[in-house]
Amino acid sequence: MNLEQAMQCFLQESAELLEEMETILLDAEADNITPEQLGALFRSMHTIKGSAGLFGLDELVHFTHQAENLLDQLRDGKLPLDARLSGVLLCCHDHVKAQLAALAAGHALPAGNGAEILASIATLLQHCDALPLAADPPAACVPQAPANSEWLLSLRFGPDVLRNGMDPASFIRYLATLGEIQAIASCCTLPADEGFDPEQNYLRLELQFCGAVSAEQLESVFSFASDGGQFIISPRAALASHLQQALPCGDEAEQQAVAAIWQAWGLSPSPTPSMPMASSSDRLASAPASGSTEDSKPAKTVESKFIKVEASKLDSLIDLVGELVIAGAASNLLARGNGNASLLESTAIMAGLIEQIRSQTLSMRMVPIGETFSRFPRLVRDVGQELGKHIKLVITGAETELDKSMVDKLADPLTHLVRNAIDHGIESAQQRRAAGKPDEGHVWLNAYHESGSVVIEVADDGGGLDKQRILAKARHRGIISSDASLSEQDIFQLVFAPGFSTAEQISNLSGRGVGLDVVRKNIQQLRGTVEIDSEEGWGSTFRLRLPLTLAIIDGFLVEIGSSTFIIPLESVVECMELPTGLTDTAAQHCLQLRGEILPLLHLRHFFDLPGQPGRRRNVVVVQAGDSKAGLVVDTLHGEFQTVIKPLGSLFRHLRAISGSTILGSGEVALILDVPALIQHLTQQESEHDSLTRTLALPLPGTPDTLTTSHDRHSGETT
Amino acid sequence: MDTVITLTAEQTIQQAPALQQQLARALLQEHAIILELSQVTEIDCAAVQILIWLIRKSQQQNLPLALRHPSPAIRDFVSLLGLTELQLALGQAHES
Repeated sequence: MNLEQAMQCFLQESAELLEEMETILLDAEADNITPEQLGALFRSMHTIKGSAGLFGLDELVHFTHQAENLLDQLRDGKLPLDARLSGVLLCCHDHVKAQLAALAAGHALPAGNGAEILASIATLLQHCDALPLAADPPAACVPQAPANSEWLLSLRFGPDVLRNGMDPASFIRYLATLGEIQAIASCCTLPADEGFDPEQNYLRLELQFCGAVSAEQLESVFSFASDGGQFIISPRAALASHLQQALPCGDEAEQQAVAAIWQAWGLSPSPTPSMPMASSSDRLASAPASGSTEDSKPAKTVESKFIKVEASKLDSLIDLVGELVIAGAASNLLARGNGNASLLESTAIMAGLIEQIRSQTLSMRMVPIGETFSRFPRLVRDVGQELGKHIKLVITGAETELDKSMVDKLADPLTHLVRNAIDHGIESAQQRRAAGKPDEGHVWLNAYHESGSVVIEVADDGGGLDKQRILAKARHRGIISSDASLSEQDIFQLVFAPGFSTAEQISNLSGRGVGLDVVRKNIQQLRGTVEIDSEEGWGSTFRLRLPLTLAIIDGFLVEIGSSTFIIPLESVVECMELPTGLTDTAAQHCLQLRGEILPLLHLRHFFDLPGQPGRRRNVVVVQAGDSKAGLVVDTLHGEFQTVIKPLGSLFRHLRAISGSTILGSGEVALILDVPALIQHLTQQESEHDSLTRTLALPLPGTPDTLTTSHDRHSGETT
Repeated sequence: MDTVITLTAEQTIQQAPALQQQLARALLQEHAIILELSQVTEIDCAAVQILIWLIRKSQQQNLPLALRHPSPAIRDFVSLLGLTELQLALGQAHES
């Protein structure tokens, strides 16, 4: 393991510890803190301090040491965990996190407000010294850490440990912080001939150690140096088995030197058969006898259920699977053309397998949304305190899985929505009381799967959206015309307009982060949608609907003339034949479908494709959110696994096309952006509407004008 | 003529190859070696190994070796790691 990897390990471990620390601190505010939690808090800072020491991060060591002192006082019950202390500890957490982030990015460690925090720690510590010890809560008297236990250690560092930038002495220094080194002796087995290499390690250390630690903790101390090293760690009671393992290691000179050390300590290697039970059980706990390097930390390998894989490896695997899907489709096509039954059968089996590989590969990228949710308790606490509102956050569905790349991109929009809910949604305590609601506001974060997509809801029990105010504002800003009549959903969607803000609600938190228009843009980039449900006086719900993955979709293949298009299958509701007898002059028609008016879009016309439409045409009914539309195409080809290839930057401005893919035949097919098409239709319709209305105004007596404004009648004839 | 070698403040793996070569040359001259250790403020296992190597080599060649004025940094390090062999050599140096 080189230093870089060791550093990565350190950063990863510290991040986990910090996360744990934050969770505990936030939990503890709500409930009474348990001795286990106090122990965990202390250990988090302590472990970071120790590891930071290994890397010579003196500032960090100094800082975490002070934080550790504070936590020590807390653990001993000399300080109560009140809001102030927990605030300081959260600041410590933030500071260490910022420093580690800078370290990971390769920047110099920022001083930040470290000095300030240290000062407040110092005041707290002084305060606690002044406190009478009689105030100790009884819980503090219970020892949290395991009782002091005695250990025997034989440390054979690998020959390359020095070259890798690690000094065995640092490990011993760290060990000394965990407990007491009762005896230590080194033996140095130098080569007899002239082959002394000044950069190679020849030292081996034997220790008797006493401390409140577990075998895992001791082993983890040396995990950084596990490469080529062998560390035998046993409880003092298992002396016989320890020596049995430790003494035969290395060459004769080393064996003699080590035996001399143990003899000098009065711990002779003669077997002690009096306690076979202890030795057998202890062997389980200790590292196995003279094994290879991999054997030196078996506990870790058995414990870990996860393998860390570089994200780029997964990406390239998914790329490859995408190519496999395309190639599979190609061979399937060939087999069909060939007509060979056995070939067809084998390609069918292959297609099934490819389908399985595809879903398995994609599922590897899936991570629970809880990772993103876990940051919100802190956010809600901070924002709530800042605004003086008492907020309770309820998280459900944290286990819902979502593509990793999406989880990362969701963090910002969700943060904004949650902040919005607290700032604008939830009213002040007085207002809530007046409305007959409990003082404590609620914010819900919920996630669940629904028909091939993931739905994430951010809900609050606040005042809800004020429709009249939104309308007034939108008219004032000229976003909508003064006489436009909008549905409830349309009104709600106005809040996503760029620069839209209902000014009366502005607080010092507004203007931070991204605006709601950016939220919608971010979600749309993920091929998702945002819906709003709101009831005045009772709260509102922002509902994000996202596809499960970004890489491969189930598509529906359609043909218009000689061009092939793909409609995402999840948006297809049904297909039907286009009724004959419709006039084809206007670009837009409507169809009556089971009592509903369905606007039609003639794709041939829309895309300006050459050629004449065939005699029989089909309508694909698509849905985006609550609106439906019919896309008129020539032929339907059915389902097709579609690997999405993004369009080049040249085509970025295209609105109706969301991407492209390669068909089995090698042809390129464009993927239709259904929400954009439907939006285009509604826009056209409303323009058409207002145009005809203005035309119709001077002639109120002619109802014909109004009816011809739409071709609805022609639709109804079917 | 005794060979007097003064070690600089930092004695770590960075200086180790150069130090070892210097000492190897000194051993070839077959004179008594005096190692001045008062300046050393930082030391690591690599440097300590070289000192042990020097002690054993000089014993093999029957060359007198004196480790003079070990700095607190060296003493602390040696007792931290329980380097008895070196501790003895330093102890002699202290008495002399």
